[in-house]
Amino acid sequence: MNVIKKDNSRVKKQTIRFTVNGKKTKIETYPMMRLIDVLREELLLTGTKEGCSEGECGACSVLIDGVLSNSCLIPIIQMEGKKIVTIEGIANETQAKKLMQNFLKNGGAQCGFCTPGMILATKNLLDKISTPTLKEVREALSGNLCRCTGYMKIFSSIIKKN
Amino acid sequence: MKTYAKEINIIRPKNLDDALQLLSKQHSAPLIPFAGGTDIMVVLNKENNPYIGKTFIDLSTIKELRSFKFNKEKSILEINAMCTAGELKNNPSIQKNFPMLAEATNQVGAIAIQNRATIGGNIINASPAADTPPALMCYNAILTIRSKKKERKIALSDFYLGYKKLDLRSDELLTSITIYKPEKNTKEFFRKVGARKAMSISKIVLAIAATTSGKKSEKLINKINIAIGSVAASTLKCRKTEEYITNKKLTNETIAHAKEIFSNEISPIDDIRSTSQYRRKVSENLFENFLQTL
Repeated sequence: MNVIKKDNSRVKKQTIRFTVNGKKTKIETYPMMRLIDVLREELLLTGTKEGCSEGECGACSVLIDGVLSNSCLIPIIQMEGKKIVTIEGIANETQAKKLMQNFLKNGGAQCGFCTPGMILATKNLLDKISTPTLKEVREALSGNLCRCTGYMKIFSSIIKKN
Repeated sequence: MKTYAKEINIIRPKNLDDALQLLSKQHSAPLIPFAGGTDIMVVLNKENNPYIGKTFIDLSTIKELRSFKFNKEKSILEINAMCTAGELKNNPSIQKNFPMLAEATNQVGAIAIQNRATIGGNIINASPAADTPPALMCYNAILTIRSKKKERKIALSDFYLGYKKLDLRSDELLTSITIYKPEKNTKEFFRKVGARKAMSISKIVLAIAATTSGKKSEKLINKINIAIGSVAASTLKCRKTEEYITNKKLTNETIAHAKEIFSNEISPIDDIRSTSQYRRKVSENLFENFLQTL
């Protein structure tokens, strides 16, 4: 259980402005609050998952100004003026919809916990290489862990043109 | 929700001068530079971490710390401290002229980590297992360190004084790293040995740059840089080994002797990732194999 030693915190809340999934957003919070906590608990965008808290599993992946990042490692103050895109933001894009259909058809998702991160890493890849090789897919997803599928069905979900 | 957010402050300087001014003013509580955050944010997960009650200074607002410049005529690369591993690994000039750096930055974590992790942070965090310092040392890296009143330069190979002990005062900031392309006839070798292909902390990370002359049967090493991580308290420049093998003809005898000196120069330990014995054996093998290929 976390014990806070001081009652009146010396750290003051700040107003931070950024865009999330195209929507202008303003929140007032502690500057060292993690981006993942702001997304999930303040903005109720729970598609972004917390798997490890250390940037090792990729479940918390988001795009920040188009750059793939682990939201569990980012203090919210650094998001001032940034454009953030979460899984909710890309779920309605054609590319992502097709990809998710492929995941369903090919068994690329079981519990689904790693899936948002996998989709974001895949989008990051497909935006640069539209028909990647298996090697390129493996490398692009090397920052994403899955405990259920054994990865092969995730890879075929991405490569197969169903 | 992490409660440390109420206990740790962070300030954002307007520019480099502002940052150096703030660093020069701190008294009882040093301001701690915060770069990409990929190492610090993990430490903050612990309830009683050393940053509780402290204040970070956010370096991400400082434009002067971004970007890198390749001087083609002089073959010098100047990298500002906040350049990310991702920016460096993807750059064609770096891939062509400094392949060990491109390889090292490609080995840092995985893509999402590389996009935030900075080269300055990798140096200052001073993990003995750090991926970029061995490559940087082989390129004769010189650090530029600034404070409000002064600027100084120091070789990266002189910068580490012990385990996470740096030649750096609390009012100073690492601003850039300059590396030098080796001469022609230099063969380079970089290898990170880890449990997996990505997202691994190294068991060994070895970089070598050897400039040679002479025919295959009479190869001579004119210059050699050997730098290795995870086998000492900090990234180690193997000066004794370098001194021995320089200006020596490569024979089975000299290679065997060099390997012995190398083995005595490193001091690997047992830890959760590997054993002293494994580290020693693999380091020796990699080193010897490289010399045999020259």
